[in-house]
Amino acid sequence: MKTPAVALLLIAVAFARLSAADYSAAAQKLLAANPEPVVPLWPNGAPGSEARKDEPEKVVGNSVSNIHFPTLTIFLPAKDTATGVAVVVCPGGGHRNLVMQKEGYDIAKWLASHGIAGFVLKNRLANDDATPAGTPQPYTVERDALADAQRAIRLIRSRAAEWGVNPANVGIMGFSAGGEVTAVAAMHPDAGNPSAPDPIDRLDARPAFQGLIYPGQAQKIKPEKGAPPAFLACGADDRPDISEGVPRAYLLFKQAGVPVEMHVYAGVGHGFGLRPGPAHGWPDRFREWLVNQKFIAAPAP
Amino acid sequence: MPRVRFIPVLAVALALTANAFAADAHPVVSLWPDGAPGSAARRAEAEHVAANGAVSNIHNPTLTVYLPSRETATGAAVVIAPGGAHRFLTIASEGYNVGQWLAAHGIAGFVLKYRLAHDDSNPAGTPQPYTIEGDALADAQRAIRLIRSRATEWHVNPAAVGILGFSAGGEVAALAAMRPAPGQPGATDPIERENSRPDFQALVYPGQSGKILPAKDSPPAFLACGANDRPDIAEGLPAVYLRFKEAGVPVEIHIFAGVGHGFGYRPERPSGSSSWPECFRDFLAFRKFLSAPTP
Repeated sequence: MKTPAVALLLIAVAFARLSAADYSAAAQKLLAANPEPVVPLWPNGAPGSEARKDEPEKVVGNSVSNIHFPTLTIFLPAKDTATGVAVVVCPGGGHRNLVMQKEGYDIAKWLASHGIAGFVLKNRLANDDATPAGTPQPYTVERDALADAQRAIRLIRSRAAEWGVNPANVGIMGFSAGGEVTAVAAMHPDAGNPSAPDPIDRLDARPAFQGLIYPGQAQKIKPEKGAPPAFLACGADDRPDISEGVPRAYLLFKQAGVPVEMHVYAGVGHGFGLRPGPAHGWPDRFREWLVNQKFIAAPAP
Repeated sequence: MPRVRFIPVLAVALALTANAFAADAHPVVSLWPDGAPGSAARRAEAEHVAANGAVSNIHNPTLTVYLPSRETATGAAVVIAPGGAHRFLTIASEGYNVGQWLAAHGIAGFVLKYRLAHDDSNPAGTPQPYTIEGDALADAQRAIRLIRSRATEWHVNPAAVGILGFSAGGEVAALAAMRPAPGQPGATDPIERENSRPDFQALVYPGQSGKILPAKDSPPAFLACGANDRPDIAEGLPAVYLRFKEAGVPVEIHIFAGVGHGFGYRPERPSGSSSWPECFRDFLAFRKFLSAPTP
């Protein structure tokens, strides 16, 4: 009876080592594909996560988890096309991991190629899939993911001149679970603490606009008067809380008197990102919306 | 008072220009050569064209034909129903301009001049001779049938003939989609043998949105409006979207921020809603109504 147990153990060990090697290879591949500069939100570690800041992240394919050291990856437009608009991009992944490539880097690249600075947020996850089973999740959406999103907006404002950004035009956009983070950030417009020791924390965390792309927890979107203008997009074949919840969120924005735009595409479900298909036009619509909301100056006629 | 004299002169010049343009460049086809049912006696009456180009006193319903080039033709055809509260037709920005855009993008556009239930030219105190559900609907149905009957001539795929309406025209388009009349196989008029069901419907800030009640087999719907339109549209249209979804009908909705009623298509005046024709073309493409042009 001993032999099979040992064999199993050996297989398990071999497998574990193989996976660890895999993660690191995947991490390097993802990094190599996206060599843009990365800045930590808090150089000495995020509040409450200082002790774990050096833990390696888990990278499977293009998805990242075990996030304890939140960062921004920076995609700046060419100087001659820069509009001064900046967008924090929040990838989805069910708060279990982050779909960094297709709902992060790819989006930011598109934005940068259209004159908009894209900052991909790697935020702490409320249901991190790297947290061992039976161990409590250390983070929540409303505390840690929100803190990361707010800090991201402040950080961009603090370095606006360096990055060629107009501090009044720093918005946020998110996909799926990242859309939830986006909406939560827009609903918690913390003006900043003028006496904070860290000058970044003295800045306003209110996003100038919000882009909610197939956002999770759409039923929790409760805009108030004065909320940031909202751009909503999803697929009509998405699950009901989104394909029916987003139009309801649109109505709430309208009721609150907040400028709102909505595009719901036929024949497409969740997670389209920049994929070719029925919803492929949404990034153009988003940019046009930024022009029409006067975040981007209209081109001379 | 030189301005008082100048305005009518300019208006006449504009009206003449608009008329000349529509008539010269694009064929106009009567829906019924011998007059529409119930309107035969008045079919030769001159229409009234207002200074702003709006048309009323319509007794001879027609289609103005905008065909794409053979090389770009996708086979799709769209009946375009302008708005104007059933009092007149806003036929430039909600008709001819749209026909032109569609034709330039490979889609045949047919601008429908339908009979008006509250025609502005009807003398006060005289009963209005037409109704929406009777005459405007009959004109829309006939338009679809007419296009199908001449599909070969116009290089149109008879399975890709839809209807697009603005405001009051959106109400007419929605009615045509809700009341699909099958062809009458024994009809003497071959046009009447064609099916009147539109293959798709596009409702742009449609009037009477509360009356849009799709059924399971309704044509796929494209919806668009401005977020600043009146509540029955800016709030009513998302409710319409939900009803289409509930009925299991493919549906798409675009609501543009900072835009109100009547944007139509005005290439000379870009606004927050300028991209709706592109959204519409994408919708047709991904619903597979556009076939590759045949070389």
